[in-house]
Formats: sequence, structure tokens, C-alpha cells
Amino acid sequence: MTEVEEPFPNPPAIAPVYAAGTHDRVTELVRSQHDFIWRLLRRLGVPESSADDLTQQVFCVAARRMGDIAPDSERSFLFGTALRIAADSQRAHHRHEQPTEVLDDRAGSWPNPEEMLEARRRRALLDEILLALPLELRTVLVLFELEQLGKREVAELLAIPEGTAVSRLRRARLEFKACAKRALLKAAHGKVSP
Amino acid sequence: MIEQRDELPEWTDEERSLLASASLDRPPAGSLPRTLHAATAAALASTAAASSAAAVGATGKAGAFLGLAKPLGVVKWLAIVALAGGTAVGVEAWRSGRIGRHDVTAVTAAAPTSGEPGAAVASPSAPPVAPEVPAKAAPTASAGASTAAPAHGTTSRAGVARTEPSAATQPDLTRDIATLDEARRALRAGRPRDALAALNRYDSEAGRSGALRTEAEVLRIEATAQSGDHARAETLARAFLKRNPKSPYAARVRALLPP
Repeated sequence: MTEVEEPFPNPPAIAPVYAAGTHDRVTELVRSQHDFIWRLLRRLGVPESSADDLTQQVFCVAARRMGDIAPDSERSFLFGTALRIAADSQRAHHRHEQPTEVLDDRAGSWPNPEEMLEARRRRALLDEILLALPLELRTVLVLFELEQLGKREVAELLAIPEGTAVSRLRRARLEFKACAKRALLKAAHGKVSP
Repeated sequence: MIEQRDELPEWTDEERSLLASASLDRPPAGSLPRTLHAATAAALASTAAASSAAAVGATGKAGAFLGLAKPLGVVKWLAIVALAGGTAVGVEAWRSGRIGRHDVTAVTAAAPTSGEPGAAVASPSAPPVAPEVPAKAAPTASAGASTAAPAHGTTSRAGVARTEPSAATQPDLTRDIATLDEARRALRAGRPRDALAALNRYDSEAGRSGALRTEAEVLRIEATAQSGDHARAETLARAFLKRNPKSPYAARVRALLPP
């Protein structure tokens, strides 16, 4: 059959209308959840150097799936996607990868270099400790303690009962304490460079 | 906030201080605009494909194998818009050296894509933790086309140590859109072999779990059909529909099956 060049089947009539709602949802979602996802990826072990790219991946996946995601499930979807991507990232990178240090000059909340250095040292330790926790416990700890989410929200995000979330948090705290003790000791012996 | 916190082991001051140090870590200034740009481009590409699905549905089943070219116009039209926008911004930022993309080692979006059963992922009842999708390398060794899509705003700030972007390791949505657009153009022009070649390239560049994987899969079914290998196309189409019964592409793929 000979191919006949057809005019575009009136794309403006279909596409922009279809796209407008999706575009707005995507925009809103990125604006409201971007920083949460970025921080989540970081605390789940994604190196600073990859955090931007992986954050983009999370939102690109969501953008493509927008039609399938119920409006009240968007955050949950992003979260689940971020967890998978973080887990993949961890498999790809070895734990011994040196975190890329980023000097924070944004807040102006560091009155002197010593204080900033000390804060960065603590953050490096925090990452080391978090990485030592099993992903399951690390996730709960990050959501409760760092993102300050309530138990119901954490349970919903993880699709587990609230009681389970709390018991995981308890285990996570105990584990964190043990790891922190070891890490602090190690740091005190100068094995962890500031 | 949670009653049970009382029963939890208490934090020491030192531990609190460790936890508080997380607040030091924030996305760099250009991160949100870049993500916004990438996500809206992905939504646009996806919308284009969905519009095409609707158009195919309208053409009906009869003669669907032969009538592929027509509805692809919509896809092309929108993909070009997406591509033009992405490329323009990308090139501009690339030239001025402001692209804040960094070395990414082989991590792909392992989340389900639009082809997979939607309800399971979109609903909180599905445990999102289980990383059941295997990690997959996404070697992106394309040379010239590395105009990374997301690139708004300034990214490097004084004192911010950054890894230089490496063309060989960047996931590149703009390039992937361009590759799929090339496949669509070839299909439209009745060159299924070229379309399949572009799709093979997409697979090798973006990996089987690339962000536009589902679109690529659907295009492959269409190209296979157009190449005259209807048996193979039918096998692929049925396998796709079995895996993705609720996909937005299901109607488009179903329309390719003989009545």
C-alpha cells in the first residue's frame, strides 16, 4: 500500500488539553516533594554526586505514570520509587565510596569555619552510621527522626501496620545507638578523617 | 507526635547532634528547576504516546497493521516539541558550563513503568520497600547527543565541589526521546528496519529499564508488525498485554492484533 502523507490529526485539539492536567500535576508534585525526595535519597545512601540525577529519575518515572497514580497516592508512589532507586544505587556503588563533600555556603548559619567543619564531620558520621543499618531500619529511622513524619504516615508509606512501624523504629534506634557508639569511638581514634 | 516515642530508647545529646547534622544536607539551588524540566519533558513524551494510543483506537482494528503510520503523527509532533525544548535548554546550559549533572554510575529507574500493572504500585497497599527489580547498568556511551535535558538555573556555587559531567555515564532523556522519535519517523516513512535499528540503539543506550522503556517496547511491536513479521509482532503484543493489561498503551497494542 502506498503511504499517503496525512496531515497531523489535529494535535492541538487533543494533546494540550490532555497534557495540561498532567503538566500541572507534575509541576505541583515536583515543587512540593522535590526536597523530600532529594533528602530521602541522600539519607538512604545515595552519594551527593548522584542525588540530583536520581531525584530526576524518580520524578520522571512518576511523570510518565501520572495517569495511573491516584491523586492521594502520589507521595507514596514517589517514595516507593525512591526506595527502589536508592537500593539500586547502593548495589551499584560500594559502601566504601567516599562521599563527595559539599561545603554549605547557603544558610549563612555557620558563624565560623570551625563550626561548619564540625557539622560536616558529624554529617559524614551520620551517613556512615545510617549506611551500616539494614535498609528496612534505616528507612524508618530517616522518616521518623529526620523527616519527622508521624507513625501513621510512615506506616502508610511503607505499607505496614503502625505497630510494625513503631517496633521497627525501636530496633532502628537501638541499632543506630550501637553503630553510633562504634563510629564515635573510631572517630576518636582518628580513623575517620574529618 | 507518636505516643510510643516514650517507650523508645532515648537519644543522647551526642546522638541528637548527629541526627541534627542531616539538616546540613540540602539540594543545591538548581536542583528543583532541573528536576521540573526533566519531569515535565517526560510527562510530555508520555502524553504524546498516550494520545497516539487514542488515535489508534479511533482508527479501529481493521487494517491496523497497515495503518500504523497515520496516528504516529501526533507522537511525532509532540515528541518534537519535547525534544526541541529539552535540547535548546540543554545545549545552552552545556555551553555555559552550568549543567549540574554528575557522574552517575549505572543506576536506572527501577520503578515500574507505565506498562506495568498500575494499581499495585500506585496503591499504598503494595509494599514499596521490596527492591524486587534488579539493579541494571545503564551504559550511555553515546557521543554527540549528550545534551542533558534538565538544565535550568545555576548549579555550581562557590565552594561546592562538583564532579565534572561525564558524557559516558549520563542518563540522557533528551537523547532517548530523540532515539525514539527517530524510530517513529522511520515507522512513519515505512522503514521498519531503520525503526528497529533505532530501538536496538535505545535498548543498548538506555537499558531495558530505561525511562521510556514501555514506549520503546510498543514501538518495537509496531515496527515488527510493519516489517511483515506478523507472527512475531503478535507474540510480542500478546506478551506485552499479558504483562501490562492496564497500561495506557494496551489499547494501542490491542489494535495491532488481528480481529
